[in-house]
Amino acid sequence: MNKTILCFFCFLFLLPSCRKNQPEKPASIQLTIRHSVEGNLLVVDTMRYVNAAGNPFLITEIQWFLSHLALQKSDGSLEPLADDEGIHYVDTDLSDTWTIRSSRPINPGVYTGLKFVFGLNQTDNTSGRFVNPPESFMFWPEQLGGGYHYMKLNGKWRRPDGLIAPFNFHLGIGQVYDSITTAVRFVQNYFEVELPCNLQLKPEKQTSVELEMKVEQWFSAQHLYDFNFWGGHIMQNQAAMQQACENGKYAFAIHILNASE
Amino acid sequence: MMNKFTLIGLILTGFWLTACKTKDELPPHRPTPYELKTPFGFPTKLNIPSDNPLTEEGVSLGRFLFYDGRLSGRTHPDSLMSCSTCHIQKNNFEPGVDHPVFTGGFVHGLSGQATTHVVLPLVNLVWNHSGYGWNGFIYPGNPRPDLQNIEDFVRIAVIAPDEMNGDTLRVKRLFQSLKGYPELFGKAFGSETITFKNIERAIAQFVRTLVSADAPFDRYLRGQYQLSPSELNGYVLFMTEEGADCFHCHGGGGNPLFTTHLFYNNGKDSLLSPQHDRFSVTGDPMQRGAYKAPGLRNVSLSGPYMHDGRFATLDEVIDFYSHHVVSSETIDPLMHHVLQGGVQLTPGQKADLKAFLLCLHDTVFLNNPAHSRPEKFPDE
Repeated sequence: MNKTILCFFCFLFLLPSCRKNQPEKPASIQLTIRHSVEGNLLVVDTMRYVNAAGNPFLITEIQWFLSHLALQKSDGSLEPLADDEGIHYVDTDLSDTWTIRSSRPINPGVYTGLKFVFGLNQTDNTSGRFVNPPESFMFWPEQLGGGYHYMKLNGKWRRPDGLIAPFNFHLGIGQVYDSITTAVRFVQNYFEVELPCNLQLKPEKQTSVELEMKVEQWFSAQHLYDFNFWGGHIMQNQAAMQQACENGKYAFAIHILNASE
Repeated sequence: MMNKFTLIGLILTGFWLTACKTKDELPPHRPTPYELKTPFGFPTKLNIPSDNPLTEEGVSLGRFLFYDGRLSGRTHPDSLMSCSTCHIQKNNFEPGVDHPVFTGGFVHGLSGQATTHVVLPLVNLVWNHSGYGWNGFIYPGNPRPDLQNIEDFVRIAVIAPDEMNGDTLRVKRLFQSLKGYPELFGKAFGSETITFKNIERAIAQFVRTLVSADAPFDRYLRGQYQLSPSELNGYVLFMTEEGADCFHCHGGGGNPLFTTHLFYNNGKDSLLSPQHDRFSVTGDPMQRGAYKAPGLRNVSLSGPYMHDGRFATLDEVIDFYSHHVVSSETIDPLMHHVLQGGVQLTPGQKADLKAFLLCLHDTVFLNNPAHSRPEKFPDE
């Protein structure tokens, strides 16, 4: 009888511990990417914007890469949204590129930030990685460091003389030249973006988040970017790309659209 | 002695066996899949419709039809016209400026009517997902089901007044009557009754096999060829914004198609008179004056150049991009040198750029017997 009672109590102890060891059902997250100017949705092809340097400008298209998207916990640990590098191409002309969904199970819990790489890091940014368009059309010439454009932001600005000039605000690997034509060193211009947030992900629920690119910040956040000074193309101008990238760290924001319920 | 049950059993078995044999006599149509190899660095996504996979039999038939002048639906020697009348292999599947009939490379149809635009090359089209023609009016996903792919271009070429000016019914009846063709259609598509749809399919299959990927530049990418100093300088110019800045629209090492297949206003005219430009297809006013960036493979044979053939030589084209680009409201932002009139190449740089462009000359492709005119047609 004593043995039976002992077994019964052991069974009672085991039951709750079994429950505790059951893995929690995963959560998921969906990011929607939005491009804005001064808080409003980007409108392309109309000369309606003025940057901080006073240049009236228009945007025709923005094409860019982000990678290594991850949620961050308060202890600094990361929960990646993909098992691989999570390289994602975004194109203002292609609506199916505006959404990113977690491709691996996400641990439920409280997250205090979203982190990603703008562009491609040195390990990921290898020539020939993409053979199919549209990603392959982003290739960055070998002569300029190879790999891929981090971003092509194309548009036009009105010069002080009233003429409309095209610009290609293209970012990628920079070069240091010993003369006008020979690159002696390459510079990795990609950067990490960290966006604080307060996200509580619940099991079996999807949380929707908006990732906003504030276009005007590329031209003002840290450095006043003047098209009249830098001109219409900067792929071979590391000083311009460096300023642009330093601005770019502040060109993103995160908004929670619907918390998991 | 065999009893009656055994006899009935044997008879039934005989019937059953006969029935099986009849079924075996009609084997399912299984043509041989055509293996299209993806060259080094080329895209792996192919534009091959699911209802027209490449087969050895289809490609072979398509080659006959591509070259058979009776595709016009006529048999009189003066009225023969096929795809190959304008798309000549040795000229990069274009007419060529030295064409004996189409002076300067400007073509006209059997009716005498000139084509709207000059002819584009039939090269590496299996990687084109963005639209066919200078304005891309035929494209996958088009709401109009009759304007989606190369198959539709075949039909348009046959019926258009500025091309064969033919009649699809007449064409299929003619080929049905030609000895040997029905059998080839049977092998390719499972029926010896010729339909125009299957004529379209066969020619489209053949066109999709026209792959140029063995130019000196391809061999350079594969480590099998060393560019000369002039060619190398030209390559650097091609690939840099401070140089000739060709690569954004025309590809390069990272895009060996040497085109994006996209549409740009490249600054040819300040006043735009949009006739059959990209705007005429999309209705987007920002695409007025925009036309396809053609592939540059075998570009030395591609004259006359631009959609209207305004430049006769490659030198004229290089001069244009160097000094004569003009602004307009819809000029593409990639033409960021426009206010300087162009990329301002020196004579030496122009020579180097041309030397590089000549590295895209693929003699293997231009002489590939698999793409050439058949020695004789099925009824010969």
